[in-house]
Amino acid sequence: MLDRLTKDLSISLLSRTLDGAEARHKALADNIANANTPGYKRSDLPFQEMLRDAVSGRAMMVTTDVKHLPGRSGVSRLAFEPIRSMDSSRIRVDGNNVDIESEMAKLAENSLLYSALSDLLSRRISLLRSVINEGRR
Amino acid sequence: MPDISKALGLGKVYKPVSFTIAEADRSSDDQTPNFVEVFKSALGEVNSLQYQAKQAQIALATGADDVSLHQVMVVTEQARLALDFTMAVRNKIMDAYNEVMRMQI
Amino acid sequence: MRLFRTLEHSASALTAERFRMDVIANNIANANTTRTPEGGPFQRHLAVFASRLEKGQPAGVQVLGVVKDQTPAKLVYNPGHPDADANGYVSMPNVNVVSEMVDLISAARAYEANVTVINEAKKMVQTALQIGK
Repeated sequence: MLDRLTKDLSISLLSRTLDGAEARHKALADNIANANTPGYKRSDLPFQEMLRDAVSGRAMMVTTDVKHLPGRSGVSRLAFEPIRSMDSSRIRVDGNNVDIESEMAKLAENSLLYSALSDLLSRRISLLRSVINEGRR
Repeated sequence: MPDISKALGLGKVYKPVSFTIAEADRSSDDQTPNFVEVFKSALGEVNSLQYQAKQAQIALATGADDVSLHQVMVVTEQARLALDFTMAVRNKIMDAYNEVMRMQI
Repeated sequence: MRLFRTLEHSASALTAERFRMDVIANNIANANTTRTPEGGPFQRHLAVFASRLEKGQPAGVQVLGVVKDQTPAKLVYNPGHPDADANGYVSMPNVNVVSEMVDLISAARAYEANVTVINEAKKMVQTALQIGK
């Protein structure tokens, strides 16, 4: 009876996307923290691509610890692992390939996306709440 | 007044074969789950959701690394919604029951 | 919580860059120090950064230590100087003030960038708290 609540597709998907955005923040934060570390190579997390692949069934599934989020099995088992770039097009003398400005731009974009997703998730929950409360005495 | 039972597929399982709860417990057709069973299982789900929410909150409070704030918020809200929903259904059923009991035969 | 962890990692960068700025400031302050307790002119110091790992996972940055720049001292002709050698040359510190300023700006920029990262993480946590309200 409660499936429509616990297995609500919007909630599951939005929640997983937020997981991805959070993981990407971590990767970008690490890049910026190591902006001056010799030999450091930046990493990134194209989580939206990963989700697309998972939803369409193309991705390799890796088990994670997301026990309490039901949803399409591919999406719920997706592990957001950062991808380290060995991109040598912009390596400095000390072997570091982090461009602070570029990282900051990605950071801002990611943060805004997180806020937007969070807001949508909140609205979805509010909608369900309105529907339920309409049925009250 | 909007009909939640229809919105959530409840109409399919509720069989108004009698007006006392005890009689409603005995389903004449073993294939169809009766309302009391459905309600009981819903309460079980609500309970389990409350438990999950509590676990998530504890994980957050004790600094577990693998929990995200948004996950805790979502699970907490889902538990709350589940409870609200179940109570709303119960109230609707009670209202219907009371109204029928008030009918002059 | 994951986002709280990244706050710690970003903070490690603040500490590291701040440390680096101190080292640079010290270099600049000693750009003309011809006499040190160990004898000889002041040698440029360098802060050595390395990625920090926690249980194999990236966890910000750490300062491994400070090393001395082994570039030989600059010899400047100045016979009147108390530390001039027999030929009138003074060994000056191997510090290039302009280069130090560039490094200082780079460290300051990185410091600010990490502050922004922390602020963004805070914003994300705050929006997550609004879920369901």
